[in-house]
Amino acid sequence: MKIQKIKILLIDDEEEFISTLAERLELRDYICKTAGDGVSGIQMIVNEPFDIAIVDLMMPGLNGLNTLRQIKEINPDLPVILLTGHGSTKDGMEGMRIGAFDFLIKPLDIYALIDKIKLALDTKAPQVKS
Amino acid sequence: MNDREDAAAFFGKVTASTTHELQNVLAIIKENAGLMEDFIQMGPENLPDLLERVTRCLGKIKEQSYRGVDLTSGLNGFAHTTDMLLAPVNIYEIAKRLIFLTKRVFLQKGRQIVLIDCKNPPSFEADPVLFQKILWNCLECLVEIQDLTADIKVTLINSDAGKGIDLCFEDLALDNASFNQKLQGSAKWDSIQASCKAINLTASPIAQAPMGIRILLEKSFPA
Repeated sequence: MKIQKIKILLIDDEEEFISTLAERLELRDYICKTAGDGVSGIQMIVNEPFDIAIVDLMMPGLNGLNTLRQIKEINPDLPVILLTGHGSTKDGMEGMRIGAFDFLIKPLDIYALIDKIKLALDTKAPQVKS
Repeated sequence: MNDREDAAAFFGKVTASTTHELQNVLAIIKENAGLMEDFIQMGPENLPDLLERVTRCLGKIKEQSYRGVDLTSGLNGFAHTTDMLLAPVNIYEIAKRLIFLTKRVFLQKGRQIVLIDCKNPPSFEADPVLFQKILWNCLECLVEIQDLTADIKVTLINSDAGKGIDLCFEDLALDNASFNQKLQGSAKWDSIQASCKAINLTASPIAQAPMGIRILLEKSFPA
Protein backbone atom coordinates (compact mmCIF):
# COMPACT_ATOMS: atom_id res chain seq x y z
CA MET A 1 0.00 0.00 0.00
CA LYS A 2 1.35 3.41 -0.96
CA ILE A 3 1.76 5.72 2.06
CA GLN A 4 0.59 9.24 1.39
CA LYS A 5 2.89 11.92 2.73
CA ILE A 6 1.54 14.75 4.86
CA LYS A 7 1.36 18.04 3.00
CA ILE A 8 2.03 21.21 5.01
CA LEU A 9 1.52 24.84 4.05
CA LEU A 10 3.82 27.30 5.83
CA ILE A 11 2.73 30.97 5.79
CA ASP A 12 5.20 33.54 7.13
CA ASP A 13 6.71 36.74 5.74
CA GLU A 14 10.16 35.75 7.10
CA GLU A 15 11.30 33.95 3.96
CA GLU A 16 14.60 32.75 5.47
CA PHE A 17 12.70 31.22 8.36
CA ILE A 18 10.07 29.28 6.42
CA SER A 19 12.44 28.09 3.72
CA THR A 20 14.77 26.56 6.35
CA LEU A 21 11.89 25.14 8.38
CA ALA A 22 10.46 23.62 5.17
CA GLU A 23 13.84 22.04 4.39
CA ARG A 24 13.99 20.51 7.89
CA LEU A 25 10.46 19.15 7.65
CA GLU A 26 11.16 17.73 4.19
CA LEU A 27 14.15 15.85 5.64
CA ARG A 28 11.55 14.24 7.91
CA ASP A 29 9.41 13.18 4.94
CA TYR A 30 6.80 15.90 4.99
CA ILE A 31 5.85 17.74 1.82
CA CYS A 32 6.07 21.51 2.37
CA LYS A 33 4.90 24.50 0.41
CA THR A 34 5.53 28.07 1.51
CA ALA A 35 3.71 31.40 1.14
CA GLY A 36 5.20 34.79 2.06
CA ASP A 37 1.89 36.41 3.04
CA GLY A 38 -1.66 35.59 4.07
CA VAL A 39 -3.26 36.42 0.73
CA SER A 40 -1.04 34.11 -1.34
CA GLY A 41 -1.34 31.42 1.36
CA ILE A 42 -5.13 31.53 1.11
CA GLN A 43 -4.91 31.36 -2.67
CA MET A 44 -2.83 28.20 -2.36
CA ILE A 45 -5.42 26.65 -0.06
CA VAL A 46 -8.12 27.43 -2.60
CA ASN A 47 -6.08 25.86 -5.39
CA GLU A 48 -4.73 22.69 -3.78
CA PRO A 49 -5.35 20.41 -0.80
CA PHE A 50 -3.21 20.56 2.33
CA ASP A 51 -3.29 18.42 5.46
CA ILE A 52 -2.29 21.25 7.80
CA ALA A 53 -1.32 24.93 7.74
CA ILE A 54 1.24 26.68 9.92
CA VAL A 55 0.63 30.41 10.05
CA ASP A 56 2.66 33.26 11.56
CA LEU A 57 0.54 35.72 13.52
CA MET A 58 2.39 38.93 12.74
CA MET A 59 2.54 39.51 9.01
CA PRO A 60 2.23 42.69 6.95
CA GLY A 61 -1.05 43.11 5.10
CA LEU A 62 -3.39 40.31 6.09
CA ASN A 63 -2.28 39.40 9.60
CA GLY A 64 -2.24 35.87 11.02
CA LEU A 65 -5.61 36.06 12.77
CA ASN A 66 -7.37 37.34 9.65
CA THR A 67 -5.58 34.73 7.55
CA LEU A 68 -6.85 32.09 10.00
CA ARG A 69 -10.42 33.44 9.75
CA GLN A 70 -10.33 33.18 5.95
CA ILE A 71 -8.80 29.69 6.03
CA LYS A 72 -11.60 28.54 8.33
CA GLU A 73 -14.19 29.98 5.93
CA ILE A 74 -12.66 28.10 2.98
CA ASN A 75 -11.87 24.85 4.78
CA PRO A 76 -13.12 24.63 8.39
CA ASP A 77 -11.54 21.16 8.78
CA LEU A 78 -8.00 22.20 7.92
CA PRO A 79 -5.97 22.21 11.15
CA VAL A 80 -4.00 25.42 11.68
CA ILE A 81 -1.08 25.88 14.03
CA LEU A 82 -0.15 29.49 14.73
CA LEU A 83 3.35 30.80 15.31
CA THR A 84 4.00 33.89 17.37
CA GLY A 85 7.05 35.95 18.14
CA HIS A 86 5.23 37.66 21.00
CA GLY A 87 6.23 36.90 24.56
CA SER A 88 2.57 37.04 25.51
CA THR A 89 0.15 34.26 24.65
CA LYS A 90 -2.81 36.62 24.16
CA ASP A 91 -2.91 36.46 20.36
CA GLY A 92 -2.31 32.71 20.37
CA MET A 93 -5.26 32.21 22.71
CA GLU A 94 -7.38 34.48 20.53
CA GLY A 95 -6.38 32.35 17.53
CA MET A 96 -7.51 29.19 19.32
CA ARG A 97 -10.84 30.85 20.03
CA ILE A 98 -11.21 31.50 16.29
CA GLY A 99 -10.40 27.89 15.45
CA ALA A 100 -6.63 27.34 15.45
CA PHE A 101 -5.59 23.92 16.73
CA ASP A 102 -2.81 25.39 18.85
CA PHE A 103 0.02 27.91 18.80
CA LEU A 104 3.79 27.83 19.29
CA ILE A 105 6.21 30.57 20.24
CA LYS A 106 9.23 31.45 18.07
CA PRO A 107 12.05 30.41 18.09
CA LEU A 108 10.60 26.95 17.52
CA ASP A 109 11.57 23.53 18.74
CA ILE A 110 11.11 21.35 15.66
CA TYR A 111 10.30 18.32 17.76
CA ALA A 112 7.54 20.24 19.56
CA LEU A 113 6.22 21.35 16.16
CA ILE A 114 6.20 17.80 14.81
CA ASP A 115 4.43 16.54 17.95
CA LYS A 116 1.85 19.29 17.49
CA ILE A 117 1.38 18.42 13.80
CA LYS A 118 0.86 14.74 14.64
CA LEU A 119 -1.56 15.60 17.42
CA ALA A 120 -3.53 17.93 15.16
CA LEU A 121 -3.82 15.28 12.45
CA ASP A 122 -4.72 12.57 15.01
CA THR A 123 -7.44 14.81 16.39
CA LYS A 124 -8.76 15.53 12.91
CA ALA A 125 -8.74 11.90 11.73
CA PRO A 126 -7.62 8.98 13.94
CA GLN A 127 -6.13 7.10 10.94
CA VAL A 128 -2.80 8.90 10.72
CA LYS A 129 -1.19 9.21 7.32
CA SER A 130 2.52 9.12 7.80
CA MET B 1 -3.92 59.33 28.91
CA ASN B 2 -1.42 61.43 30.88
CA ASP B 3 2.14 62.17 29.68
CA ARG B 4 3.69 59.36 31.69
CA GLU B 5 1.20 56.75 30.43
CA ASP B 6 1.63 58.07 26.91
CA ALA B 7 5.44 57.78 27.12
CA ALA B 8 5.18 54.29 28.63
CA ALA B 9 2.84 53.18 25.81
CA PHE B 10 5.26 54.62 23.24
CA PHE B 11 8.26 52.80 24.77
CA GLY B 12 6.20 49.61 24.99
CA LYS B 13 5.28 49.71 21.31
CA VAL B 14 8.83 50.37 20.12
CA THR B 15 10.26 47.67 22.39
CA ALA B 16 7.58 45.14 21.40
CA SER B 17 8.20 45.77 17.70
CA THR B 18 11.98 45.45 18.02
CA THR B 19 11.96 42.35 20.23
CA HIS B 20 9.52 40.71 17.84
CA GLU B 21 12.03 41.29 15.05
CA LEU B 22 14.72 39.82 17.28
CA GLN B 23 12.59 36.71 17.87
CA ASN B 24 12.50 36.27 14.09
CA VAL B 25 16.27 36.68 13.87
CA LEU B 26 16.77 34.06 16.59
CA ALA B 27 14.21 31.76 14.97
CA ILE B 28 16.15 31.85 11.66
CA ILE B 29 19.48 31.25 13.43
CA LYS B 30 17.97 28.37 15.40
CA GLU B 31 16.46 26.71 12.30
CA ASN B 32 19.73 26.97 10.38
CA ALA B 33 21.70 25.56 13.30
CA GLY B 34 19.09 22.80 13.53
CA LEU B 35 19.38 22.08 9.81
CA MET B 36 23.17 21.68 10.13
CA GLU B 37 22.55 19.34 13.06
CA ASP B 38 20.16 17.35 10.82
CA PHE B 39 22.91 17.09 8.19
CA ILE B 40 25.40 15.80 10.77
CA GLN B 41 22.88 13.21 11.95
CA MET B 42 22.61 11.95 8.36
CA GLY B 43 26.12 10.55 8.82
CA PRO B 44 29.63 11.79 8.06
CA GLU B 45 29.64 9.99 4.69
CA ASN B 46 26.94 12.41 3.47
CA LEU B 47 28.65 15.58 4.60
CA PRO B 48 30.83 16.16 1.49
CA ASP B 49 27.65 16.22 -0.65
CA LEU B 50 26.00 18.61 1.80
CA LEU B 51 28.85 21.11 1.91
CA GLU B 52 27.07 23.67 -0.27
CA ARG B 53 23.95 23.47 1.92
CA VAL B 54 26.02 23.76 5.12
CA THR B 55 27.78 26.82 3.68
CA ARG B 56 24.40 28.34 2.89
CA CYS B 57 23.24 27.77 6.50
CA LEU B 58 26.38 29.44 7.85
CA GLY B 59 25.83 32.40 5.51
CA LYS B 60 22.27 32.82 6.79
CA ILE B 61 23.42 32.64 10.41
CA LYS B 62 26.05 35.32 9.74
CA GLU B 63 23.55 37.54 7.93
CA GLN B 64 20.99 37.23 10.74
CA SER B 65 23.67 37.96 13.35
CA TYR B 66 24.30 41.30 11.64
CA ARG B 67 20.55 41.97 11.55
CA GLY B 68 20.38 41.15 15.26
CA VAL B 69 23.26 43.48 16.06
CA ASP B 70 21.55 46.33 14.17
CA LEU B 71 18.38 45.74 16.15
CA THR B 72 20.03 45.50 19.57
CA SER B 73 22.25 48.53 18.86
CA GLY B 74 19.19 50.50 17.79
CA LEU B 75 17.20 49.41 20.81
CA ASN B 76 20.10 50.20 23.12
CA GLY B 77 20.48 53.69 21.64
CA PHE B 78 16.74 54.19 21.95
CA ALA B 79 16.78 53.08 25.62
CA HIS B 80 19.63 55.49 26.39
CA THR B 81 17.61 58.45 25.16
CA THR B 82 16.02 58.41 28.61
CA ASP B 83 19.41 59.16 30.25
CA MET B 84 19.11 62.93 30.10
CA LEU B 85 16.18 65.31 30.15
CA LEU B 86 18.10 67.74 27.95
CA ALA B 87 20.48 66.47 25.27
CA PRO B 88 21.57 67.31 21.71
CA VAL B 89 18.93 65.94 19.32
CA ASN B 90 20.12 65.09 15.83
CA ILE B 91 16.78 64.96 14.07
CA TYR B 92 18.00 62.71 11.26
CA GLU B 93 19.62 60.11 13.53
CA ILE B 94 16.65 60.00 15.87
CA ALA B 95 14.15 59.68 13.02
CA LYS B 96 16.27 57.03 11.27
CA ARG B 97 16.48 54.87 14.40
CA LEU B 98 12.80 55.21 15.25
CA ILE B 99 11.71 54.33 11.70
CA PHE B 100 14.08 51.34 11.65
CA LEU B 101 12.85 49.99 15.00
CA THR B 102 9.15 50.42 14.21
CA LYS B 103 9.24 49.31 10.58
CA ARG B 104 7.15 46.21 11.27
CA VAL B 105 4.43 48.13 13.14
CA PHE B 106 3.74 50.26 10.08
CA LEU B 107 4.23 47.44 7.56
CA GLN B 108 1.50 45.58 9.42
CA LYS B 109 -0.76 48.52 8.77
CA GLY B 110 0.24 48.39 5.10
CA ARG B 111 2.49 51.47 5.30
CA GLN B 112 6.11 52.05 4.59
CA ILE B 113 7.89 55.00 6.17
CA VAL B 114 10.62 56.38 3.93
CA LEU B 115 13.27 58.69 5.38
CA ILE B 116 14.95 60.90 2.81
CA ASP B 117 18.72 61.21 3.26
CA CYS B 118 19.98 64.54 4.58
CA LYS B 119 23.60 65.66 4.39
CA ASN B 120 23.21 68.59 6.73
CA PRO B 121 20.67 67.50 9.34
CA PRO B 122 19.32 70.06 11.79
CA SER B 123 19.90 69.47 15.49
CA PHE B 124 18.83 71.18 18.68
CA GLU B 125 18.79 70.63 22.43
CA ALA B 126 15.69 69.10 23.93
CA ASP B 127 14.27 66.12 25.77
CA PRO B 128 15.00 63.32 23.23
CA VAL B 129 12.20 61.13 24.59
CA LEU B 130 9.64 63.83 24.02
CA PHE B 131 10.92 64.50 20.50
CA GLN B 132 10.73 60.80 19.59
CA LYS B 133 7.23 60.61 21.04
CA ILE B 134 6.22 63.56 18.83
CA LEU B 135 7.55 61.79 15.71
CA TRP B 136 5.81 58.57 16.71
CA ASN B 137 2.51 60.33 17.39
CA CYS B 138 2.74 62.14 14.03
CA LEU B 139 3.25 58.86 12.18
CA GLU B 140 0.43 57.16 14.06
CA CYS B 141 -1.81 60.16 13.55
CA LEU B 142 -1.20 60.16 9.78
CA VAL B 143 -1.79 56.41 9.57
CA GLU B 144 -5.07 56.75 11.49
CA ILE B 145 -6.52 59.60 9.47
CA GLN B 146 -5.80 58.08 6.08
CA ASP B 147 -7.67 54.86 5.34
CA LEU B 148 -5.80 54.21 2.13
CA THR B 149 -2.44 52.50 2.25
CA ALA B 150 -0.36 55.52 1.29
CA ASP B 151 3.30 55.42 2.31
CA ILE B 152 4.73 58.26 4.38
CA LYS B 153 7.81 60.24 3.36
CA VAL B 154 9.91 61.88 6.08
CA THR B 155 12.03 64.83 4.94
CA LEU B 156 14.25 67.10 7.02
CA ILE B 157 14.17 70.85 6.57
CA ASN B 158 17.35 72.85 7.15
CA SER B 159 17.18 76.17 5.35
CA ASP B 160 16.83 79.89 6.04
CA ALA B 161 13.07 79.35 6.01
CA GLY B 162 13.31 77.08 9.03
CA LYS B 163 14.64 73.90 10.60
CA GLY B 164 12.55 70.86 11.29
CA ILE B 165 10.92 67.84 9.72
CA ASP B 166 8.05 67.10 7.33
CA LEU B 167 6.06 63.88 7.54
CA CYS B 168 3.90 63.61 4.41
CA PHE B 169 1.85 61.09 2.45
CA GLU B 170 3.49 59.93 -0.76
CA ASP B 171 0.12 59.90 -2.51
CA LEU B 172 -2.62 62.38 -1.95
CA ALA B 173 -6.07 60.89 -1.45
CA LEU B 174 -7.97 63.61 0.41
CA ASP B 175 -9.07 67.16 -0.33
CA ASN B 176 -7.57 69.93 1.79
CA ALA B 177 -10.66 70.54 3.89
CA SER B 178 -11.15 66.87 4.80
CA PHE B 179 -7.47 66.48 5.58
CA ASN B 180 -7.45 69.44 7.98
CA GLN B 181 -10.69 68.32 9.55
CA LYS B 182 -9.43 64.76 10.07
CA LEU B 183 -6.07 65.89 11.42
CA GLN B 184 -7.42 68.44 13.85
CA GLY B 185 -10.18 66.06 14.92
CA SER B 186 -7.63 63.41 15.89
CA ALA B 187 -6.98 62.97 19.61
CA LYS B 188 -3.29 62.52 18.80
CA TRP B 189 -3.13 65.99 17.22
CA ASP B 190 -3.78 67.64 20.61
CA SER B 191 -1.07 65.51 22.19
CA ILE B 192 1.39 66.41 19.38
CA GLN B 193 0.69 70.10 19.86
CA ALA B 194 1.13 69.90 23.64
CA SER B 195 4.40 67.95 23.37
CA CYS B 196 5.75 70.36 20.74
CA LYS B 197 4.98 73.34 22.94
CA ALA B 198 6.89 71.73 25.82
CA ILE B 199 10.14 71.65 23.81
CA ASN B 200 9.74 74.84 21.76
CA LEU B 201 8.56 73.27 18.54
CA THR B 202 5.53 74.06 16.45
CA ALA B 203 3.37 71.52 14.64
CA SER B 204 1.23 72.54 11.71
CA PRO B 205 -0.76 70.73 9.04
CA ILE B 206 0.55 70.75 5.48
CA ALA B 207 -2.75 70.99 3.66
CA GLN B 208 -1.45 71.10 0.11
CA ALA B 209 0.10 68.12 -1.69
CA PRO B 210 2.00 66.28 -0.41
CA MET B 211 -0.19 66.50 2.70
CA GLY B 212 1.16 65.82 6.13
CA ILE B 213 2.52 67.44 9.29
CA ARG B 214 5.37 69.94 9.60
CA ILE B 215 7.36 70.16 12.85
CA LEU B 216 9.54 73.26 13.08
CA LEU B 217 12.02 74.54 15.65
CA GLU B 218 10.76 77.86 16.92
CA LYS B 219 12.67 80.86 15.51
CA SER B 220 13.84 81.88 18.97
CA PHE B 221 15.62 78.56 19.35
CA PRO B 222 19.36 78.53 18.50
CA ALA B 223 20.17 76.58 15.33
